[in-house]
Amino acid sequence: MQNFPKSLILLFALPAGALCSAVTFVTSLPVARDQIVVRFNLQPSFSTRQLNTFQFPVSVAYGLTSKLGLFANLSQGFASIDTATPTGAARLLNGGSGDTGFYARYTLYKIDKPNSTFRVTPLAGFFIPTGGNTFTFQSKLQSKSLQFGSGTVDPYVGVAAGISAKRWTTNWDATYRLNPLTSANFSAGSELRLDGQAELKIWPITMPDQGLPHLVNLSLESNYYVNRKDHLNGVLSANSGGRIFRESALLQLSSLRWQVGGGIQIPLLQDLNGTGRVKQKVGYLVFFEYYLAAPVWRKHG
Amino acid sequence: MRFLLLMFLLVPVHAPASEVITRATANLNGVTSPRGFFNLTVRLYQLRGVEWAKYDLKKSMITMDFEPGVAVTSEEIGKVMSSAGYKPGLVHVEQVQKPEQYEHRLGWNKIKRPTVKNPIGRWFQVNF
Repeated sequence: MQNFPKSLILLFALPAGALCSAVTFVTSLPVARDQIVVRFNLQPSFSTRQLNTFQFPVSVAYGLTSKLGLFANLSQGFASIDTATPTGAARLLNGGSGDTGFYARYTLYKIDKPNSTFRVTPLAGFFIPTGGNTFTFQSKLQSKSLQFGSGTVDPYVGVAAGISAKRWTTNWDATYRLNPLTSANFSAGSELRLDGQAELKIWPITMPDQGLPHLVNLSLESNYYVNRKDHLNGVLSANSGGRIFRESALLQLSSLRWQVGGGIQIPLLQDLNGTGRVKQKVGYLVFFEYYLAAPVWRKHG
Repeated sequence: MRFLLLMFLLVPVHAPASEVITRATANLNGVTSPRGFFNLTVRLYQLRGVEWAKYDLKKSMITMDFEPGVAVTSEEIGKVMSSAGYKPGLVHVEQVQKPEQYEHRLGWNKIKRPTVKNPIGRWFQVNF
């Protein structure tokens, strides 16, 4: 993080990778037993070289027990970028499904107090290769910016923790996704993520003595990525990997059954390997979340 | 005529007496958001006879009114809280007069109870 002030001045950014999951991390998403949470996201992102991406991730969480939650992250979208050719500039466009992630999260430790709750929840799962990773232009395999999948089953592990109080909430996670080499000698490069969130209920200013008012929350979220180098055609790509730090500010409206929100994401740090890398300028985040009671298959309890 | 008028005034007019119902209140440790109350709503419709539930976010408290004639124990309420993943706080059960109306602005919500036998139909009735 020593390069941080320099990067602030440069305001460098990375493109929102096609492999990104929901806004901005869902590992801390609370889900109770017999509850289903469905979150729909819209994530447009704009970068240098006219790389524009539009991602529509969908996250589904199910509370199998009060401690064990099952999660699925589906991703789809499209990306376009300007590229130089012998005959002039061309615009490449690719779209489709991304990889689908499945993981289980277990509440290992919790403290419930009258006005707050604290939880530590390890998680583990995998991504299955539902996204394409063979997009080529003029017989040349394109970089990760235009690929939507890794091409392999990718193990995924991490730990999430959070504190919820009356007025504020904070969540963190650390996750690692291992992206092995495919049979076509492509690898999107493994990824370490550290995420943090601080959320403040800003409305109503004074909580009414009775009832359950709609709440307006301000959420500040930080995402730090460490990406290992990609493999392209069997060799490590010099122009890949690096460190990224993004900060997001979101406003959310929450009620008993749903939550809706939107915000802006600004990249604050890019320490990227190689030269001439595409860098994100800005991203936007919109989501709608709905809660459902799961079908009850138990006879008792 | 005066006698009839006197008789009319003396005969008590019997207004329909409001019903006596069971009301349970519970403090919920760990419920700090509307979503937290939904986690309980998911479980409440499985509890026999809950008709109305009142959510008070400031106090982290839930109040449940049951159908006339349905009784509940503190243990049953505590079990529902635990199964939703929350540590039940103080639970209080009492008999009260059924309110004439339940106001949503004060936190009252009608508990949806599925009526059909088809499991898919039941699921839709609960959620939509």
